[in-house]
Amino acid sequence: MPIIVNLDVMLATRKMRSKDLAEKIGITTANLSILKSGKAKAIRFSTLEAICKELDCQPSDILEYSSDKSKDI
Amino acid sequence: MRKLNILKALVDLLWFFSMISVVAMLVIMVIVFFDIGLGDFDFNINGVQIEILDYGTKFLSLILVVSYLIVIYCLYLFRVVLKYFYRLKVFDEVVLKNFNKIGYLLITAAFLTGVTSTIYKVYYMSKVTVAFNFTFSPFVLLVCLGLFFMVLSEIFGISKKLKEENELTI
Repeated sequence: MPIIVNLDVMLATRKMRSKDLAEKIGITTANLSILKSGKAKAIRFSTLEAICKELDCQPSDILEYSSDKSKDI
Repeated sequence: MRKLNILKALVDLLWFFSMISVVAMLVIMVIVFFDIGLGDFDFNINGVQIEILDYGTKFLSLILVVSYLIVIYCLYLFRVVLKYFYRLKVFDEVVLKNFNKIGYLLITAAFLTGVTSTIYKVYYMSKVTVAFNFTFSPFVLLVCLGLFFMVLSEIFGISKKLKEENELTI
């Protein structure tokens, strides 16, 4: 999928554990793990809002678009 | 779930009786092929009355038996699907594959029966009938049923994808 989730990078820069973020935004660690691993098919605006609020960042800091052409090179 | 129980019971009952008919049909086929003699018995497969017994009709009856066995195999596949439904595994890969397979097999059986009975009627009975009825012919019904199962398989495929997307929406 060309959408990359940079949640692990954001967590590392803020020195926050996945478990803590999951508790604060009210989702399970399993779901957060799916989001981090890029297996998620979609993300709700409410979840994105909660993550941005908790990590004090913009949606563009978490989500990144990468075209498939870069993979071919 | 009560409806599913009734359906499962009916299909199981149908399966039991069809097994008996398969055994009986195989015995009759041995009698027909080895010219042991049918006596005064009516030889009728899937509504086609076989009156003349030569190599041609034997071959046609073999095709009819194959089409009948295909329909029985479809019943077996449907039983498997119902077992999956019973275990609440509605969107399992086996269900999708079985629905598609049932569709293809029913259409094959319909064409085998239709073509064979038409050849028999035209060649052996020299009877060509053009009839307009208010009831559906078994050939058309079987083709429709086959197509319905194929459409059902595709719909289940779409539903499975939607379910997965819904589960993976965080």
